[in-house]
Amino acid sequence: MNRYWFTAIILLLSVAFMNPHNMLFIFTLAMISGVIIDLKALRPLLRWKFLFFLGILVFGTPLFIGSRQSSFWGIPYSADILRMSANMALRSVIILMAIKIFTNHISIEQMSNWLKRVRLKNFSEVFATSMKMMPKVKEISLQTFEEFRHSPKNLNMFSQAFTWTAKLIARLLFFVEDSVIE
Amino acid sequence: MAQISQKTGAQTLSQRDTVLISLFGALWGLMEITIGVTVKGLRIPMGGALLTAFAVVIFTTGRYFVPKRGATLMMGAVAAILKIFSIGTIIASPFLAILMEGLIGEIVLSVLGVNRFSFIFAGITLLLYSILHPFISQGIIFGTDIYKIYLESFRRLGELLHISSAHLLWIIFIYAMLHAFLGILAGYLGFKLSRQVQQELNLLRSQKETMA
Repeated sequence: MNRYWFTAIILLLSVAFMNPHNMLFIFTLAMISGVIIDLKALRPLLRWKFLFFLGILVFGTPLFIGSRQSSFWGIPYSADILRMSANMALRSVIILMAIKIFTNHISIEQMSNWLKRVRLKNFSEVFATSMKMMPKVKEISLQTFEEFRHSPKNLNMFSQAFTWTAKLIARLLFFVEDSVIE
Repeated sequence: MAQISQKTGAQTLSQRDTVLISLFGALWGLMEITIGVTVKGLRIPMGGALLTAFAVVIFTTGRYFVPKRGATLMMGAVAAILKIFSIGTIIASPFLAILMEGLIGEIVLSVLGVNRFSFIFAGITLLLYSILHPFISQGIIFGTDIYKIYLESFRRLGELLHISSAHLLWIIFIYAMLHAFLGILAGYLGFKLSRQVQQELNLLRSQKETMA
């Protein structure tokens, strides 16, 4: 666990020192350490939507933005914006990989304990209670929804939904108050 | 009623408060899971804003019944964990977005108290924040240079469409006003729903007493 946290923190820190001059060096080191520590962390970075966005950012923006004084096969582009975009793209890959390494190795319980420490002292009890009451919440919700479906539609759609939402919450509160008294 | 109480931050929560926070946190989380998936799947325009508006209705109603400091933040934390739990893996963005909603709602309601104005103000603040959230998270991920790209693209777009920056600002202003209007509606509905729920609850209690 600790080595994952340590790697994630180092990766996030390395981003702070990243600039267009050292970006390739830092990116290569970050990718090597990421691959060694947790290969699975790279998977979300290979989604086509993310790659498409990076493609537009790196290769699209220099064609339209900035002073387009450089040229590639006759196509004018801005070299400054290209460097800036590439820096942003590489930075985003490292940050997302660091977050993924961190979150791949943390459980819901650890997350809940962490929130407990951040001033939410009885949070774990609140969370445990909400998990416990979930089946009853589902049961009351489904029952109310069935009643709503078979109720006469003498109001407009919004008024009907509003009235039944109030009924549902009141029933849930009533159940909760009842269980606290018991 | 059980007399168990716990110290949290500045205020004491009774067992009833704890259970009610759990309930509204669970409702918020369930809403994020069910409606969130539907809104994303159907690619409804302003889907994020709609989800935030529903969240405002739920947590303001919750705060009406638990008017204690920290309650909204805790509801948000429960909802955030339920949301990531439903995905199966922890994804930072929705987790942080829901936590931020809880935090902003908490600040507004702690400062202004529980009343119609504070509910509406919380709605407006959150709906306006929902416009800024993607920019803030993109700023963290891509760095502040992304803002330069956005500003430059904004200027370029204006040139291409022969629209002045002032007109583009008007478009943004109208979009923000749409969000603010949705926030007012959500806050107002939250307040109205709270009172309606109170009436229904009193009715259920009196029915129980009659039966007893």
